[in-house]
Amino acid sequence: MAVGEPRNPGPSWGLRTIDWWDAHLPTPLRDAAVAIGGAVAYWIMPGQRAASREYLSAILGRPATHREGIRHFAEFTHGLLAKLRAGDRVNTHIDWADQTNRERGKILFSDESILLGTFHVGASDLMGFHVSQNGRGISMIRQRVANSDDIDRLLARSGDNVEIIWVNEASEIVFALKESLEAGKSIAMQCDRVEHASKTEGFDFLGAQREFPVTIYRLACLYGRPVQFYVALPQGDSRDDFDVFCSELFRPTGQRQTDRDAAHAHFQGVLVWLEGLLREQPYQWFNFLPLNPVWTADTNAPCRRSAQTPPSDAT
Amino acid sequence: MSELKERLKNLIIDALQLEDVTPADLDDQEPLMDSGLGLDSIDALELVVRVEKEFGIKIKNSEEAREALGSINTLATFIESRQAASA
Repeated sequence: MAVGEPRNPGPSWGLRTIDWWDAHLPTPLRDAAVAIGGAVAYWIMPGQRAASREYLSAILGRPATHREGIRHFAEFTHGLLAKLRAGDRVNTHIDWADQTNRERGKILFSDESILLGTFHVGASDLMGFHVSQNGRGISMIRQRVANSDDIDRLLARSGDNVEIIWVNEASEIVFALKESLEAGKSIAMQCDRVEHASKTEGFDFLGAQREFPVTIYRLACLYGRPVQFYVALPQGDSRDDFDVFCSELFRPTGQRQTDRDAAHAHFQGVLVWLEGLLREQPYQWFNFLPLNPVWTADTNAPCRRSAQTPPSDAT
Repeated sequence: MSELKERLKNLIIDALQLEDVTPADLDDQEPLMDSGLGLDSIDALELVVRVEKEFGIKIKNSEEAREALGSINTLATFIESRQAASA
């Protein structure tokens, strides 16, 4: 399989360097190195810097400062480190944020096959691997890039319960998804980037109606599977303890148009919920790509096919 | 064969919710993917699932799907060959 360029290309030795810092430096020194590294990355990566500032300005409701941008980069580095050392140098702890979320997410620990949605937020990869440790077989959808070492390392520690479906080739993903769903596996997908998505709709998010992928709902409706979104965020100042938050459950009824409308309304609710979490922890959005494009009427009108019109009560 | 193609056209229109498209609008030779009808990967999956259910056949992998979903003609030929093989 062809391997794409890194998403956010830093130096090729970047992951190894921060991993070495983490393994060998005392915590205060490591944190200082991460802060300095974050500042350097902020200044030498203009595309990611611009994306960070665009996002921070939207979530904070005012122009972001350079100091805030540098902190955003440093928090991303700490997020990478949490993945690199999970289950190795530290005992990573991931648990429900509270009883409400525990109750809401109970389906996660049932036998029912589900579609798990998440975003490039907090410890989403760790969340997927945490779920698999409870014996649930899970397929994670990811983009294969040249710097996927963090995922490869987690994969090596997760046994047979986790498989990765790399999305670089659209024709292959269809049958990989089909196979996984027909085998009764649960599938985890990050649902914020539109670059590999063929099905998108417009949703209110960060002050505009923006384009988001709805592939997860199409699969849910096709296979009659429930959808729930999960986000794992750092607990207080801890780098290795995470609180898990989950959305309300979406369960298709089998009535196609009803399900499409309900799915749209559900995802709008999910994005409101996500925006609320990000307002509490604004530095945990690790996308570093331009914010999702503003939705227009013909954004998703391919060739001869009519564009799906979002239901009027959900826009 | 023409009855099968008509059935396929109706199935495609229904499965993919093609608004304002009738069976007569779909050319037997027109590519279903990309430049023709413009089906994307999720459309293809929806179509494959419906075809498998409707005709009791199995499309095993992406190579078979690419071959089967070439056009209405190739899809009809594929279904007939599969049904003949299992008869």
